[in-house]
Amino acid sequence: MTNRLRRRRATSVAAALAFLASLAIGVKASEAAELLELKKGDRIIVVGNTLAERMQYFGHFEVLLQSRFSGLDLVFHNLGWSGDEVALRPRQARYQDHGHRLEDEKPDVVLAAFGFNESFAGPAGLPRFRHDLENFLRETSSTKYNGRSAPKLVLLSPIAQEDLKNPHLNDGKKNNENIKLYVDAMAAVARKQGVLFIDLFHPTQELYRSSKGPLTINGIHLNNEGYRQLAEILDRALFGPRPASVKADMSALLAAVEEKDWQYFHDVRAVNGCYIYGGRKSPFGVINFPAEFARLRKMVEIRERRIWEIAKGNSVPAAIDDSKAGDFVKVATNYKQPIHITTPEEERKTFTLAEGYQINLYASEVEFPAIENPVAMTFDAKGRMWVTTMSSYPMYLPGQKPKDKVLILNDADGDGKADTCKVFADGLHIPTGLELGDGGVYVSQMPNLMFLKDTNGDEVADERSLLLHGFDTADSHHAMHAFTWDPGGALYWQEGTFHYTQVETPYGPRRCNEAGVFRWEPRTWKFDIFVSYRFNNPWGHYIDPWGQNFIADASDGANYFGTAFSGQVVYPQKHSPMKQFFEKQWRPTCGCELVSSRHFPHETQGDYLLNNDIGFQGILRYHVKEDGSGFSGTPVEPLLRSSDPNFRPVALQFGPDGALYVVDWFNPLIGHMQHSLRDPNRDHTHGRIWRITYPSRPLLSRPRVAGASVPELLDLLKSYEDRTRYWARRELRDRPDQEVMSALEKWVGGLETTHSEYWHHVLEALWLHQSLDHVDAGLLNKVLTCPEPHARAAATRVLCYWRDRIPGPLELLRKQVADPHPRVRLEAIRALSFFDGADVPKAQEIALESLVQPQDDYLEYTLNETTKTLDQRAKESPRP
Amino acid sequence: MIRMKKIMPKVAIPRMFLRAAVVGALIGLPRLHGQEPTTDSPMVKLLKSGRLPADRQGTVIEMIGRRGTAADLDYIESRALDPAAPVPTRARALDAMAEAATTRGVVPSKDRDRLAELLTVPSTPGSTVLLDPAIRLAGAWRLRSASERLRAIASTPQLGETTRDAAIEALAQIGGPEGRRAINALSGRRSPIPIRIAAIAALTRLDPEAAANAAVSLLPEAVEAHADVTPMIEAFVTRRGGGALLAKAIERRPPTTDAARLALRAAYSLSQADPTLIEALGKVAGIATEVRAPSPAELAAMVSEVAARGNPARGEAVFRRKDLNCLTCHAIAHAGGEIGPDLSAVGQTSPVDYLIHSVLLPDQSIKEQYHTMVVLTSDGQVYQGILVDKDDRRVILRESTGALRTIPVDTIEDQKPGGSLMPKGLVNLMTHGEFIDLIRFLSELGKPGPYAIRTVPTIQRWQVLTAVPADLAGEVPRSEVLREQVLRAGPDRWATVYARVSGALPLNEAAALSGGSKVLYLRGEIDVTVAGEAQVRPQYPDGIRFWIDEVDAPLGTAEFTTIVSVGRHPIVVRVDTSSRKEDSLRIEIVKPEGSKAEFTVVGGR
Repeated sequence: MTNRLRRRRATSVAAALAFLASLAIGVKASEAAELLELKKGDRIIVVGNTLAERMQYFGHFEVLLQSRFSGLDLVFHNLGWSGDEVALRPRQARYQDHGHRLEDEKPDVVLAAFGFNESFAGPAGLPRFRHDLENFLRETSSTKYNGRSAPKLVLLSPIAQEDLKNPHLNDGKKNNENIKLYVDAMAAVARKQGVLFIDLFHPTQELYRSSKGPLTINGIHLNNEGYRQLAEILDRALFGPRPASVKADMSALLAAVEEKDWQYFHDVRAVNGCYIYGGRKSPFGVINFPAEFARLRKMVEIRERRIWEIAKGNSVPAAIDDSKAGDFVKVATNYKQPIHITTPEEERKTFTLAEGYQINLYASEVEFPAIENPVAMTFDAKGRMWVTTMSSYPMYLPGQKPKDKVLILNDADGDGKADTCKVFADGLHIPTGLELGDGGVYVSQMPNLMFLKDTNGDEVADERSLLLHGFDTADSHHAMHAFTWDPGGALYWQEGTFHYTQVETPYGPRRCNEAGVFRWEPRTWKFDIFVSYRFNNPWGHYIDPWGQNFIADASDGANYFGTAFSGQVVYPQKHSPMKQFFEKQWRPTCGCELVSSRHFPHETQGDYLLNNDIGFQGILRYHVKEDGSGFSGTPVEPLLRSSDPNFRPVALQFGPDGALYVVDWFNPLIGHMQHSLRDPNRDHTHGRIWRITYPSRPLLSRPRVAGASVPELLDLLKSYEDRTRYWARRELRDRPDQEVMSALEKWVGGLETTHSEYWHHVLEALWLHQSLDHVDAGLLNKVLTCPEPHARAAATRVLCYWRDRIPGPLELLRKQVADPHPRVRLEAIRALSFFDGADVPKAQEIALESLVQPQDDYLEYTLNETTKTLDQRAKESPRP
Repeated sequence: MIRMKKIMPKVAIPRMFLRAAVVGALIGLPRLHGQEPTTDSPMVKLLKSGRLPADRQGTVIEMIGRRGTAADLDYIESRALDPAAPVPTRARALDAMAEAATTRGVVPSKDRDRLAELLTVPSTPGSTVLLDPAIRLAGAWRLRSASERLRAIASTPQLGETTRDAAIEALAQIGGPEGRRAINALSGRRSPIPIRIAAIAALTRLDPEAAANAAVSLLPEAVEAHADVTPMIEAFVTRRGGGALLAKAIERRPPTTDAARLALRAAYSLSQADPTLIEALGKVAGIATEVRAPSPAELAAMVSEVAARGNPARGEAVFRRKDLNCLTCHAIAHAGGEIGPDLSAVGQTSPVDYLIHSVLLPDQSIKEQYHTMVVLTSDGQVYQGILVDKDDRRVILRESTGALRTIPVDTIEDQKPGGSLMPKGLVNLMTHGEFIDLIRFLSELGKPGPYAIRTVPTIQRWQVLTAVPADLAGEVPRSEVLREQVLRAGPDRWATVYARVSGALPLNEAAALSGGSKVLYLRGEIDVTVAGEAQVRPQYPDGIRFWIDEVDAPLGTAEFTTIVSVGRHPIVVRVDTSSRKEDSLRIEIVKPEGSKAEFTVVGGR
């Protein structure tokens, strides 16, 4: 409260001086350097980190540039890439063949924005940074990329981190100290090499002081207003004061720039690179993609000419004419078998269920034509199903606008069939995953994580923001899927191999090569690689009632006990091969869920359900039992099997009535590699949702989540069903913190200590603290030392994520590695891998102590992995 | 290089996480450095503290192998050499020291020559628990003083192939005049053919030219002896320039046609194709070796030919052929190797043109988990395999045999993405018609019809008793005899044979593995996870008797129900082929109505 007041006072003072301040910035920035001269037809290419990359979504700088230099017909291409450093720019295989190297882009001017990610190496990283930067500047300013002359190079410093006065985010003080060191180094190196350097650090610091509202989304990445202001700074610094007037209609120009950037983005960050220019371009991709990208590049040129016309003040037709952009190559199918698109009723008859179960159609394209290739689902607080569809899969066709959607399906009368289908968001491209939360919808829009929000209550998204960047797109079905919340309020998703992902965070860049599981705390903006493992394409993640992770790899059908390999590794290392928790029977799989529904028979509770899509098409089932520090599974009779070759179960979840819902992507062709991505027999218009019940047992009454009071929601945390607790936790995040925290205190005080689930209830309280980012050392200690081993194990995980805010975390872990229960020890050994710097020797010593206790496979495995990480950190200071 | 159960500590990855034996050869040795012992490290302190029960010391010993200093190694060396220490602890200490030497170049500071004490032929035959790791360590340390003992071990037939090959591998690592002398002796004419094959393979690393000449001389003798020359041919192919040297030697002194065919078949079974060698062998063998991508018109013609003339039953016979090795890597219905993709449903997802491409040009389309890496080492070896694990010390590849190869990072000169592990040019061992049939067969797999994935499980992977004793052949054994002579017969007495996709096992194939015996003993297995009733149903019960565990099914029964407990249970079938009309055997194992049992039929390689 006091913080907020103080800030308001400070900003109002600053606001009064805003005009003066901005003048001062202009002078300051431009006096450091000579002005940049441009010639007619110059090609300006932007490279660098997320600061550069996000410029394409907020085209203000190009607008200023094109309007100022109308008549010069400038080409402005953005190659910015999340996480890039001057000397570290991992890309998917053969990206260099795609036509966007500097040699291909032939720049006359290069704008290079680096230094932010590098700055997290701190003072120790400076010598290496200087060295790398010198090489980069030398090479870039001397290479004749266009074959005639070397480009003019402009080096852009990082911006400062903004203090958003958000108690969950870092204030940026320490980061800014480091950034300043790097900015100074950049200035010095640039001066020495005679390269034009623009300091954006000091001007943005000034801006933050003077701005009324926030200029960044998370302290480090500018928002729309931030880019608008940055554009002015950059424009003035490079070219001097603005001309008195320009001819362009500035809003039309912005729209034209953003349209061009949208098209260019779909070229430079084309999804499915593997099939376009990578290892799988033959034999199919080589047939159609050259023409598609020739057309797309022509379309970009057409839009550039449009920009130039608007810049000159000329009028342009409302519609863009792409009729001369070139034609596509017609692709013939290689799928010669007869295709029979079954009706939902025909398909239903192909199902064989285990004894006692029944299946019915919940929704299909017949009643709701929008259900085209549904892929991911979740239930909202009202018990409605949210589904993403991807009719544009495997990728949209250049020139068209993708029309993938987020749908809301509602079964208002509870008869097990959806009554309505509402389009919440349209115009998406391959939304492989989604999850609700924090008042909106997180949805994958590779290479970005998008947040959709309905701000006026009409249940249509009217706000779209890109929160995280840098998720690779080499193979569209390997990207950003299997979203799930953990009970402590972190959001997880996964990606498959071939991908090289780099994400910038206020805590430094995080990188993952070739498959992994991600973990993100939206409140703190802490993003990490939860599992860095050589998966093929993990597509399934379930978290059990005690917070233990089960992860399914789709392509090879492997299933893993996730805790054991979720310790940290030092990039680019991966975890070593780990055993599967049961011997796989089939592949490929897609989606897993544990049975947690009193509607299903008693003996199936806790069974692991697994969709399988080729050969065996149905739902496999495994008994899961505790096995030392981990789990093991044994196959039992499958729940469902279909003889319809079109049936493709890709997601499954228990719903509010206790029935199991199965998303059927429905497609005769499934192979990504076996047919052309453009094979005309790929289906784009069908999709079904199935519902499995056990009629001899009653359905559950739907829990009231939406509209429930906070105490009612807290009581839902005592529910038997995992999914009910899941929805209650998610809902509680949206309620006012203060209200939740005070109700929670009462709730915990009122819990029956003799209740058999008492410690699970207390654990839920601890998780809620974690979810709301309210660190409570007392409560943590209570659960760490409680009599219930599963709760102690879960609390050890919480300790891991609170290690920077709890006194003496290593001493606490010393107790946990000696715990009588192997799962607690496993969590503790895992947690030790998160320590670095001066803590490493002690963490190593504690890890070794775990050997005094009985061992099993997972304990030995995790100890090895933790030891490897700590040994490496002891040896070298890691790249962040 | 020597194929199979090879050499190398398994320490790189905790053993229990990998089913295949960890193998690998020492590929050049990083510089060895000893250090003066200082105060005990925490790991050694823990070992000495007495706080660890004996069965957990091995874990710390392995950890020392991965990360310990020379001083730490001094301590485990003293444990390894201590006759009073438990044998398993000593064996793990030896392996740990080999790991340290191989992947990190760290060795104990003293007493290394004392390892020779362990390099003696053990008094009890069959007990090589200490000997094998000691041999591997001698190689990893390049212990010259061990050469003569290793030669003696390699020439002692009762020690078995694993030990023999380990000793020869160690000699190759030791090299120098001592190693060379020993290998020369082993590869000489006085040695038995299998030893010569292994020794010539090792010689490729010391003197490839001499090895090439020795190989050419050996080939005709190998034909006579029905020996498998694959390990030797592979050694040339995985040696930089080795294939070319052998090709030259062959051109200089062409062997017999049969000898060339034998070598060509071996060359075609390898994941790395050596075109020069294959061409040279092809010329002598009179087999065309060129492989090229079909033109679109040729492809279209083949696609229609597959539809019009391809015969899936004949194609299955081609698939099962020994010389093509398909089943070595690919399983159908869970029976077969697990190196390449399971093909049970390949026809459902893969169009015919895709299948033709995949067999002709395996490198073109590779599922993500089958991408390989090719590594060139500083001492001139070229390895190809699927990347299993990689860190700052070593890379581990899974080779086409399923074996794991550990390559120290320090010795890697170059690495690049490789193609598929599938041998190229297999099509040259088929007639055009056979190829068309094979593709037809693959295209039917998983489609509705006779090659669909079945709901009723059958025994697909069988073991056949390779030599049937007279009393077992003569009459149906009593349960004690069955227990002693069949159920307890060691793994080396059984050979694997797979049923067809339909579930029918061709009895003539089983008989061929059983020395042509008229009476066959076959063994399948089920894995029960929930106890209950299981029913065994032989399709035609004439001429057979069978048992689940030791429970005898009544003669002539077509449906035998019994209660099975949790765990694995063998199903043994005695087939008297002379009193059986059917030339195949098909046995279903089902859950009778009302049974609570949950089980799977065991498959695999």
